[in-house]
Amino acid sequence: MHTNRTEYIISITSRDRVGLIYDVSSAISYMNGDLADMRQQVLHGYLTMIMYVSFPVNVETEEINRRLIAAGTDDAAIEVSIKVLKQSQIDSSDSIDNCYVLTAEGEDRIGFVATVTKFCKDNDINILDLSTTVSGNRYIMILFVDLSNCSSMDELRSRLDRFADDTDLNMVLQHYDIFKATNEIKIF
Amino acid sequence: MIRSDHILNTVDMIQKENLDVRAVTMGIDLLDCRSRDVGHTCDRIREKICRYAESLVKTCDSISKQYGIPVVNKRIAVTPMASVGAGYSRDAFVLLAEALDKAAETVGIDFLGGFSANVENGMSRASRELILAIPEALSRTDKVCGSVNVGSSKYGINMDALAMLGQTIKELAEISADTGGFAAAKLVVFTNQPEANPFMAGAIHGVGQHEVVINVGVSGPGVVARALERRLDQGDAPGLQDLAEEIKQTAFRVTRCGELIGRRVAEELNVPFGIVDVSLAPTPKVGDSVGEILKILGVDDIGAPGSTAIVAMLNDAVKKGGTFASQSAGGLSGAFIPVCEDAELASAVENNSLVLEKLEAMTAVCSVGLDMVAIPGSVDAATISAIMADEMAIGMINNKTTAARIIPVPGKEEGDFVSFGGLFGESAILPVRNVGKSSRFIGFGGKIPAPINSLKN
Repeated sequence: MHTNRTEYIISITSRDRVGLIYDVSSAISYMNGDLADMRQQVLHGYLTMIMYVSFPVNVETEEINRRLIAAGTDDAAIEVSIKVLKQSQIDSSDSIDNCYVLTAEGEDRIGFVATVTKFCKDNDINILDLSTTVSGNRYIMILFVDLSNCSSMDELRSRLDRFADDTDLNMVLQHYDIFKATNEIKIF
Repeated sequence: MIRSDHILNTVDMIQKENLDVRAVTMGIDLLDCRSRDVGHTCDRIREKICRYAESLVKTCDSISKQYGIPVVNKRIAVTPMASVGAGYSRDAFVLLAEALDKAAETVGIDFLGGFSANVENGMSRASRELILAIPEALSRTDKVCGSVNVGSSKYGINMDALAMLGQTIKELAEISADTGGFAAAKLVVFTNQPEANPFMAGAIHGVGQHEVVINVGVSGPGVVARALERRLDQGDAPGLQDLAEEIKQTAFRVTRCGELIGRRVAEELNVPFGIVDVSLAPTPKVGDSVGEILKILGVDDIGAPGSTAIVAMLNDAVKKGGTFASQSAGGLSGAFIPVCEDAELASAVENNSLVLEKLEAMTAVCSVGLDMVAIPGSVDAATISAIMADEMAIGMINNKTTAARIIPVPGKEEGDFVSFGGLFGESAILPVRNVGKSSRFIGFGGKIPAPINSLKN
């Protein structure tokens, strides 16, 4: 990113509608904002978007907030959260070198996600991406996880097996490369 | 990021559908081990195998754990021993086999292939001594496998060698009568034997290969069977071309997993990566059967009319998917139909729906041949040679590999049952008709001349 600019992580939530992303991104470009990276998801008709943006230093946080809210409409108001980034807080590596995919499947129940994510926390597994699907009364979690902090794969696999037994979940941990190899044309 | 339905499909393939890497096979050149003294040669063979393959098993296990895909067999293929032991006597060849066995034991692999000779156009003295040594060599060792290439589309079929090998197979079975003639399961007779092939018992590290190399054999009949079932469940009345497409796509995914694991093992061992043998290799486990695929594809019993056409389509679709997936597909690549090793094929023999003649027809379009076929122990050597000659002729004329791994089970007849255990499986004895009626043919000896399609220059 450029010097003389301030970097932000901005997230917005709104009811989804046609033209929403255009309205948000044109508000950003109107303020001379550089949209370096973004992710968005729509869930049950609601959209959430997280953006990594820089603005010239003379653009105030207040103005960004005001203009983004103004991009909302009466029946699809936009909620905005803005965080100013200091250089030391930027982690540019969205690396997936040591990325694994953990899937957890079991009967739908209260606390499913908390149970699985507790295992991750207890075993130093960092979750990079998480999605869930429900099929009948089965609940399936798909987690992209980073195992850089885990020292022994052997130990982790046996703990995972024990955990799956104890919680009556079907859990599978596979290297991300397997999914690339089986689903993408070019890998070698 | 990959879509979640693709992720779940892949997870199912690995977890529920028996996807594994069937064999990681290290090929090792042993030509530089030979010396005037057989004892010294044995020492050098053991030393060289142990040096190159010291970490093979450990590395396969660790990569297998890392990726969560089982590597079922760790194997070694060596230079055909007829070349390494040229000049030695029959007894010395037995010592070489023992040295190979000891080395295999030391490095902890499952099987070692390469007690082999190529006699496609004539038999050298070394090859003759090796073939004479086969019964003792393969019955006194646990892990050593042998193969003899008796024919090719280039040179025809060496019928003298086939006559001799009929006897060899009888002797192998009789020496190992207490295990149902199992020693015969460690010998394969080939036409057009591939020189880089990770599958046993026919794995060799041919002349013209790397000093050392990693080859991989994939598997996955279970994965293909489940994929076909899912496709049929869609209820849109698929045609055979749609089912062939499903097989192709599944073979692609299976092959990719094999290549990934193989390349990682090769990288870790700092050894070149050779080929992926893109094969549907069944195991006796329920749900891991090529026979089951044939039934899904529309015959109620294996051996019913249509079976050959189905094997042809399956074999072709597997090759197409696998070839695109791999940078270097090779070996046998296709569908295997080894009777004892496939629960559905074995049961088709038991209920008489699959007979030898139909099996032979199916091998004309599969990737190997008459594989793991248990026949009555009373069948004479000349008839066995003639069964093999038929199989070899199919390979010679069609420019394809064909193989025969026939076990004349001592003391067992039609209706009896034999079990070899583990991956070798079990089967009813396959009846042989017209026994003893081919002696004059085998008695001629000599060779079947090179076919016209050998003249391609």
